[in-house]
Amino acid sequence: MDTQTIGARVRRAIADRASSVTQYQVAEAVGMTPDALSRATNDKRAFSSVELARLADYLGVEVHWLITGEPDPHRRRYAARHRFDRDTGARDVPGRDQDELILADLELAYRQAGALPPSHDVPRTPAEMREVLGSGFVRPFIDRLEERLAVDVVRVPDLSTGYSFAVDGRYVIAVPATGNWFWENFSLAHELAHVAAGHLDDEPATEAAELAANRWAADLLMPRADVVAADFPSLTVEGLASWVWDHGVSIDATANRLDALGIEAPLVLREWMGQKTQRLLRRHWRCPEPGLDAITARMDEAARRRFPQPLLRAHVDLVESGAISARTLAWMLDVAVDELEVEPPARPGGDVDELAVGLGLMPTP
Amino acid sequence: MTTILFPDNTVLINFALLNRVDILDRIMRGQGRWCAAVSDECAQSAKEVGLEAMAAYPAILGSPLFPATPAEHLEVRLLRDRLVGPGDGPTRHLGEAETVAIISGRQIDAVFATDDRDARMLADMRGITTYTTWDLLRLAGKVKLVDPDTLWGYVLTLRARARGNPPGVHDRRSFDLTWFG
Repeated sequence: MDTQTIGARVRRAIADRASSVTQYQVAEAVGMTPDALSRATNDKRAFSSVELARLADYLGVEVHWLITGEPDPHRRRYAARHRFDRDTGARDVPGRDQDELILADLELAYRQAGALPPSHDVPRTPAEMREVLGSGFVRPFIDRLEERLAVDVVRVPDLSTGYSFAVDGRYVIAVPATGNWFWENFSLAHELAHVAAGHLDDEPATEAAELAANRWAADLLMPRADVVAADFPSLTVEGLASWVWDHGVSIDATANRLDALGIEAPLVLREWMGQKTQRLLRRHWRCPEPGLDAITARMDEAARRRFPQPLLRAHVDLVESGAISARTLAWMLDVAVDELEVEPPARPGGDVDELAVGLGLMPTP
Repeated sequence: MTTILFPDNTVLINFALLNRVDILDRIMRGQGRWCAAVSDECAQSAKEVGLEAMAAYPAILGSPLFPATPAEHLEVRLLRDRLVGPGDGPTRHLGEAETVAIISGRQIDAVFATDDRDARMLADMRGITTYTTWDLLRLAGKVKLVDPDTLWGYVLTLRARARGNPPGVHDRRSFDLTWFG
């Protein structure tokens, strides 16, 4: 079928949608009369931008494709950390539909910001990544990713899992604000694995890609040398608590890592498997600084909404110049638009007398 | 030289809320035009209770202007991106974006009436003069289409309907000073 014109592409999309849908039903669904749709698909009438948006939504195609016949260059490609169901062995992202809405908002924020500098080359192996991120990277994990690799990290509530995507060569990792820092660390590492392996174009993610990303993440956070040095067979419960605190991982992630390395889980680990990591820490980890509730502080940090500084800075500049709406900036900062301390320039409206003259309501002075 | 006035749906709604579509008609004097997206938004709004008066606009504003080329459609999408915010649906702000794209792209000697601050900013950056509902009401007062007492009543009505407030107006005295001083 010819798809040279917008009308022809709409016709094609209607034909592709399903044989059970008639043009009449499509017209009704998008608020056009059957005659208007028929004339528009035969290039006898133009489409309004509202009609195209509704048609794209209803027919499940991109507006950009309807307009140009080409895929949208800004189409979001991403990888997600899948949930693993131990009972069925299935991997899925049950919150994907809701997450799509949040990801669309993130995509909008980046699109409005314009081109930010691309990320640096992302190391392909965990060892190379550790080298780039430097020692003790797990505590300032997000800062190191942004400072050393220009990989952005967004943390927002309501996401069901971690995602990674690229916008004009800049990688973005989005994680839910849950306060669960060990889950967050593993998500960051998991998404880095997808980025390093170039999985962002694979949709849907394969089982093999998910498993590989988990292995890569475990290796990054718990290198073999560290596991060996920890001497797990003789580890005490206090030693286990120190391990999960220092490496920023959970009890279960630790158990999985030992299993993957062929190291038998010690009794203390088997006793704690399936229990809350925070419970272990609160009972058996001793904060080096007395009086400081470091566990709550770390949890609080991992529960905070955050957006990368370069993204925020770009929005502030554009809002101040009047180039974009302040609403996305307000959303990122979680404040009302009127509460923003960023002011767009004052723009004088037209002169009412001039309009009156122009409309012939007053004589020319 | 005559001026063409493109209103957006915020302005059309306000005059309909006042049940004074006739004032806008008399202000525009046959020089009002609209874009297809605004015409579409107007048709949707006219279905709402209290906005039935909007059904009169097609006869006043005539056949709408449509984006004519893929380039014009892409320009609409680009401009819309500057106006939308998180959570906006797929058709939000298309009326304002389409109007600005068509006026600026076709170099129409026209002004744009909208109460959306971001849309006014966008139009201004494209060199399009903008007006608000308040400007048009004030104009109606200046050319004596409406007397001051009635206009003050309209201000109170729109304010009560959460349609904003004229700049600098907080009571009748400031209204008289600002609009007729």
